[in-house]
Amino acid sequence: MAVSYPGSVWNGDTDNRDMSLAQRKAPDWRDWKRLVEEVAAAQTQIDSYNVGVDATAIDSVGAVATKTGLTVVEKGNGAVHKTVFTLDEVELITTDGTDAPNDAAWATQTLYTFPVGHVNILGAHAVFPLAGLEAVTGGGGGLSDTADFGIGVGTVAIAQAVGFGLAGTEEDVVAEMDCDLTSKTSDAIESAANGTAATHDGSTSAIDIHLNVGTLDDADHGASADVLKVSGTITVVWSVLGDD
Amino acid sequence: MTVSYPTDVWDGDSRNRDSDNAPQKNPDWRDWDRVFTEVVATQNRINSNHAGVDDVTLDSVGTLATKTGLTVVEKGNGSIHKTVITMDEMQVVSTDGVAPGADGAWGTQQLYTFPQGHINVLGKHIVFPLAGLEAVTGGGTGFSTTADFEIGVGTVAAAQAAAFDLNGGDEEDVVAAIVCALTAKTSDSIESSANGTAATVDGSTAALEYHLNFRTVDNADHGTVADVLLVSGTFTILWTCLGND
Repeated sequence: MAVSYPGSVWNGDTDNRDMSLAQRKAPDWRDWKRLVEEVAAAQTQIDSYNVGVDATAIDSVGAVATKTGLTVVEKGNGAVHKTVFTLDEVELITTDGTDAPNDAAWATQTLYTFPVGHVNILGAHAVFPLAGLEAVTGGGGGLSDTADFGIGVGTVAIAQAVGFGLAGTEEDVVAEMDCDLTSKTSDAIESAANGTAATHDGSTSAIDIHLNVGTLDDADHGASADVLKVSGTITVVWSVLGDD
Repeated sequence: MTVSYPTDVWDGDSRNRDSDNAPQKNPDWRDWDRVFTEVVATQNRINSNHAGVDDVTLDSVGTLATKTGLTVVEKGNGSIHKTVITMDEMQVVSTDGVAPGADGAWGTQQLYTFPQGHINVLGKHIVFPLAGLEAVTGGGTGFSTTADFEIGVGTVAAAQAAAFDLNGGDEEDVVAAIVCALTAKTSDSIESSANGTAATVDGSTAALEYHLNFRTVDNADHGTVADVLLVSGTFTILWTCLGND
């Protein structure tokens, strides 16, 4: 006799007893086995609900991108999710602009893909601690040792473009923070909080969010690629309202 | 000795043992009876919590109207609820306007009643799939076979009015009017609306209700005989009750 929960609440039956007969007999190993299964199923469901996993995909959690140093903890339930990303020296490759005097050097990393549907982001926060941002090469071949750049989270990945910093959908989840490097590392804690709700139409294709970086002027980056190590925490509170 | 959970966490006692005495004896049928009831109570509580049911009415789920084809799934908890209402060929009667030349034919169906209090709706979404709206009679005595009408959700039920279309106000203040067109008596495209702008409605004097409303666009859309609109779709509300009075 298989475990019943969560398909249904246990009726007390086991391979040793039929509860409808109100048998007054001591439990044996078969009762014990079933009891353990039902308790385990209940505990598993508690754990699953606590991290927002739901049997209906639209009400469940999204998918974190596969990237060394990027992990996620999910909290919430089938209504509202709190998704907490930890970045531990996540490496973003920087690319200089095609027309360097006018085009920012840029870098991007996909963080997360929501379930398909209209994603209502209720709030978001990002924090990069002191020295949480670090150029690997520096020296001006890639990033300058004292580079200034904008970093934020958006629903579109930054790409080669005319202009410096971030704009629009490159920073529509967490607005651009301007960061300064000193000796290749960020010289202050950087953080931004956004509590204004916004709905993004992911009904045709699922909404992704991306960590985006764009330098602020040509002196911030040379012609060679570099790597920016990013450490910090990004939190998003969200729900999917529906699909189509 | 009855089940203790969820009023209290079970202390391990049964009619066969006092756990404070750490009795070293095998369980008998009385122990079994108690442990089984505690496990069932735990499973029920898990299910209840997952559905947003709370011991405090203000923090709990609302009430779905009783109507064939209308069902609800509640998710969330005592703070924020996601209410997913499914309409499966729900029948809504259409009534022609008193002065058909100037008054639209209309229909309404209550969907949901929130707990009494100030309801903060964080977002909502509605979708009627292709062919999700269908006139039963059609042909122009009731609905025209190619009728056009506005359909939306409001805090007040539609009623006879000297106008066509929904009223631009409380008949559609939850989901703004969607203009639907029938072809061969059924809706000829998917119709949907998403809204993530939070708003608070005062349901402290009388509990807030949501109503599905429709009204035709002009006189050619409906004859003088009552008809039935079959409605299929999904309506989702993300909400919380901030407090009462």
